[in-house]
Amino acid sequence: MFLSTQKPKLSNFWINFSPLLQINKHFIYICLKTQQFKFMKKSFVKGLAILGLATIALVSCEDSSLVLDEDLNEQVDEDIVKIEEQLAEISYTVPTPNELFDIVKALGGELNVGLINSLDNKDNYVDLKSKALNFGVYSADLGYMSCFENGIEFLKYTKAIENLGNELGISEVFDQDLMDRIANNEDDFDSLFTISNETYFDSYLYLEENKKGQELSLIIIGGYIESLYIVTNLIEEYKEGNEMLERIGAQKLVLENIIDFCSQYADETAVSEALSSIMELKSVFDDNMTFVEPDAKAAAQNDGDVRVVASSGSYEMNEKTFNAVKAQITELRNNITQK
Amino acid sequence: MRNKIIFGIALIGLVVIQTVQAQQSCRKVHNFCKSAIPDDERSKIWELNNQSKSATVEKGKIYEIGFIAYKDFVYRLSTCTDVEDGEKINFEIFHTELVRRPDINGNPRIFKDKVSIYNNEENEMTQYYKFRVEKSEKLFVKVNIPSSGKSESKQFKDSDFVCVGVLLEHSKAEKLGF
Repeated sequence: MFLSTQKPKLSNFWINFSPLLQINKHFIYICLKTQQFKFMKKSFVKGLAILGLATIALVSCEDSSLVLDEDLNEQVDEDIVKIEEQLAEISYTVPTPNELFDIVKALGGELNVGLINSLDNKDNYVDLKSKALNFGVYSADLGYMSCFENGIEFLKYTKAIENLGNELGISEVFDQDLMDRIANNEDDFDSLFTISNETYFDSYLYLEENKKGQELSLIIIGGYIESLYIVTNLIEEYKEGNEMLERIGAQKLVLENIIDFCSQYADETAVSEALSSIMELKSVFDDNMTFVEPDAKAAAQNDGDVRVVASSGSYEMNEKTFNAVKAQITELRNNITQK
Repeated sequence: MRNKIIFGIALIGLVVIQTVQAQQSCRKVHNFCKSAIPDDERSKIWELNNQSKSATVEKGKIYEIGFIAYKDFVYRLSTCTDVEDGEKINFEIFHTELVRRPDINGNPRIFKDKVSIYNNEENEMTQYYKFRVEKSEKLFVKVNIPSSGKSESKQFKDSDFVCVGVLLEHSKAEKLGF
């Protein structure tokens, strides 16, 4: 069970990968807490030197995050108490923007090219943070356009992403083979949609494998912001029963996983700034959504050979939440793209 | 003392090198999980979901991922490792239940409980599971990595590490307009 006790804030540096380092974290905490730090200093420093070297090396092997839950715990809504076992490390994953667009299209959403980020802005992104965030933004735009069968700008946007990718050190993803596939499928929107999805995933894997957690986090955040910006702005005004509103509400869950994932890189200033922005968005969801009690009669059932998981209590959208989320996401998105 | 420190660092270095190699060589191992799926199941159209994960995990440990399931899709989850002749992989899926109940002070609060919804032990350790959710949900899958079995012809010969893959695929739920 999560505890609300405020431990001394320790860097992620110490909290990775092995039980040994977990012990190390608690060792430091106990030392500080009991005021015995001075007496233990001599032996502590020796141990620290060795463990520090080990940690520096091991940190790069870290895959996921016991620390994420601890960081999250400090930010979780006060009305919510999380009960979770922490026996295993958890890797948090995030659906791509393409999945959301696919759903939105099926629900009657439309293409509005006025919502995508103009390529005129691409030369304004000069620092790593804005390059990575807008790599995510343009990737989401690419997914949106291909999903809604607009191939006119596809190659231009791919080129823009490629240029940003080169500057972020992921040029390997954008090889000649990819460009040839795009050229050969310029009228096949299903293929373009698949290509945009694969490119996003390959960029993700490349960054993860090459320990570029900062860039990866920013790209994921940029993609999320752009996709939610597009979908919320496809709805002019709140209307009870609009199914797209429920999908926007589900983006709260995606946001939580993004925060869990990116928190492991929160030592990087750019990531912590971006996290801080999306934490504000999470607060907008948390503070305004309506809690719906679980249906006591709900039970799992089978639909053929597919198990249908019954829902429990949930949070639902309402007019106040929609308007607040739309305003917040529009501000966030414009802060990223308008440099 | 200095020699001991140097020896310690060298030892740690070897472990790190092994681990880094292990991390890098498990790329897209999840794609191999399809081999656990019967032929008649493979004929249906399933799209790769980008929340699929591959990782390097020590034998006998638990690997866990948290992912999002949208109500608009049917999902097929399968797991695999590169261990030969080992025990079958046990995996369990959990979801989060939001329940309002009194806390220790008697004040009503909303609790998030992690509740098991499937364990493949219930189904003769079948390596895949098909499901959909009534409402979009955050799910978790815990994979128990077998502690025995050879992987001599695989990535990690003479190693305590194995590649593990969690393949998530989705298809469009028909009744929602797809």
